[in-house]
Amino acid sequence: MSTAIERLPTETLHQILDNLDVETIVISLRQVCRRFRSVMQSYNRYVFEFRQTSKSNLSLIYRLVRPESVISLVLSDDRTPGQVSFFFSLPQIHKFSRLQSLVLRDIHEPQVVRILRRIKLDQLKSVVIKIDKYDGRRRMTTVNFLRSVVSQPNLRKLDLQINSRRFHLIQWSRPNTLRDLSIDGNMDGDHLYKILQCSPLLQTLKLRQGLPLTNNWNKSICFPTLTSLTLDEISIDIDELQSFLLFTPRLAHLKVIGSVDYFSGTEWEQFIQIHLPMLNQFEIFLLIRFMSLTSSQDAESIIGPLRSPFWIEHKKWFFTCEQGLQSCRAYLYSLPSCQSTMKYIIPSQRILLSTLPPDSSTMDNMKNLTVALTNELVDELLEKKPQPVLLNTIKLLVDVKSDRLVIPLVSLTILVDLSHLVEIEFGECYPILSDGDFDVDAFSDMKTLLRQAPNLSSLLISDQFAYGFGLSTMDICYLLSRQIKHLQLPVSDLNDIKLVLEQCQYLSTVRFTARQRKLPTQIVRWIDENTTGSTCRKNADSVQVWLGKNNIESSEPEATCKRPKLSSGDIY
Amino acid sequence: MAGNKIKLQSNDGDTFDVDVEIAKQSATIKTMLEDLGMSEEDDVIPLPNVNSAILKKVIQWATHHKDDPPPPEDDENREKNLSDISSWDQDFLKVDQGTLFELILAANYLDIKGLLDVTCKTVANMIKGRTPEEIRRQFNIKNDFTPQEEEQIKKENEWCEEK
Repeated sequence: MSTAIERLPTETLHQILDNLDVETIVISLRQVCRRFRSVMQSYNRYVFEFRQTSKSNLSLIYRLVRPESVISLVLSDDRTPGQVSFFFSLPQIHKFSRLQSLVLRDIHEPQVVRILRRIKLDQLKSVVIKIDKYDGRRRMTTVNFLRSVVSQPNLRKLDLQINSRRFHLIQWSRPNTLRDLSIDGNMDGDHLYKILQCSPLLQTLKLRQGLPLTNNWNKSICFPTLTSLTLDEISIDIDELQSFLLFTPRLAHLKVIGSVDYFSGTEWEQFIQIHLPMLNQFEIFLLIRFMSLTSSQDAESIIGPLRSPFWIEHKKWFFTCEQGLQSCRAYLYSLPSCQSTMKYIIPSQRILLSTLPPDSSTMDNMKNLTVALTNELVDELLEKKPQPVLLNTIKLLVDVKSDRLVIPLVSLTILVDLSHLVEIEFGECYPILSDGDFDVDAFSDMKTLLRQAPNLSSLLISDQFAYGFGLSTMDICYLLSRQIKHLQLPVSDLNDIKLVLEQCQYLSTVRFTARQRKLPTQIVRWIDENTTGSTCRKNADSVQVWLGKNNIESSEPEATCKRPKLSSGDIY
Repeated sequence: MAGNKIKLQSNDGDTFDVDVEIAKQSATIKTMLEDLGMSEEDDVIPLPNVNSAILKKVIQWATHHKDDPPPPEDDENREKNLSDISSWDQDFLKVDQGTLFELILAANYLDIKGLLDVTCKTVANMIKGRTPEEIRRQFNIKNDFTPQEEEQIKKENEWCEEK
């Protein structure tokens, strides 16, 4: 008799698969029962994204899934060195005929050309291209293919992160079908004007560059379809921005992230009322620079005008102004924050004024957080024990800046809800304790912390941190749970490499950092001799490994196995 | 029928008075009301595929989410982020597996995209990263592969390991 999940219709099971990574579908679900195997075979909305997939599983996936069933392909060599070359080794690239989305991130220019030459472009709805290494000989070929991409009849979304020399050569002469465009091509006003003219359906524009000057634009120009504008990571002249916005009167969403010299809530209130009557979402994250050290009056002068009925009652837009003590700058941001990355400043070391009532949740969008774990922060957290204020953080970078022997990492759980975390990086740690009297509870402290992060898939530990906390390679191996696929850790010799591969069979990628000059070369050789199909990328002080089949025996730690006692010889 | 309410009838005969705007989160009901000419004054909208207990849950979910912005259109670039389920939805979906799958079927039949998304994500969370044996245990699924099929799967796996 079948169970409740097996009785779900195939299309409903496919909807569940829409939420799963390809590795879980192909490697696990395929082997559960006949029904699931059949569902996996009939599923045709595969998203090929292999950032966390081991190389041996990747081979299996490419073999078992028909290319025609793939609708989205993401290729990047970042954590998986050789992934793009592996793709080129496939005999059936031309059969990826139903691709609707293509993401080429941090890859070399010749590889971009090869891919665009070999896959079918006409089904593509969305393309992201970020080139990290250029080849002058391919410049015109790249440009010609990009022109071809832009002119595809189904293309709705395009995100180009390429250098300005190539970007300027793309001719925008014929109307395209784009709805959503992100660019950072360092273009001038004329170029942007051409792009907007050739994109009659464009609704969303994101610029990651200085705002082009619009002095030459005819004042009667208007881009009525444009309803969403994002300016990201730029230095902004408010007058130029407002001049630009005169051409986009139907904006419903405006997002500005960058630095400014001043911000006047009163001015913006008038501007929005007169020129952007349809604006219903106004997101800002602005660094405001001052000529001298800030005081609470500076923050009040910024936030005060944003307490008018226009902002609070009519628009229901709320803001916070935050400035560190002894600082020449302040941050002004809308709530919830539109900036996904932020450094946490402890309340006693900042001035924070908000137009929201106290206790309102303001940090829901904070995905990437950097925390400096200082004595003051720990004291403050342990004393006040507030509920976690950061509920949706997925990446956390922890620096320890304390001279205490006992630094309770678990105090972070008071600040951050760890249940959504996918990556933790333990970075700086100073001062380094010199007497070897390491905190014996550090291991269990860290274990407790990681246990509260069930979705964690990446753990990055710097050598400074491992040393500061007295963590040996064995300790780090014991910290890992099965869901962790990517590990970064310091190693001191080849025995450490062997230990990691013996103990951590579920890893897909590892970055070994090494202080010794010759060790990276030795690591590459060792990986080559003791694994099958792994690929490595060697840098001066590290080796990134995409793991193939491990040829050494597993001696995975068992739950009852006692962790070896630390000795100074185990420490880096 | 009073004001802006409609009556929904479950397959076991219970009827529920529901605000029209809340009920219209179901594209199926919205179509019945708008395209098929049914009016709010019609006596009852029968929902033959949904029982009373599940319909009650669906109405509870739709009532809580009545002011949500419309869900985005299908996006092939969507991040498969399984952790973005609100805490309210997480609590709401702390139910036995039978109820969870009934909710999925009801969301599918009633065409309530938000509810279908969140219930499918919840099931995906129960599957993600688990071994085949763990998935079997989780859902009480029997391994029904024949020895030949087991051998075939083993060969598929080995073929790649040898490469």
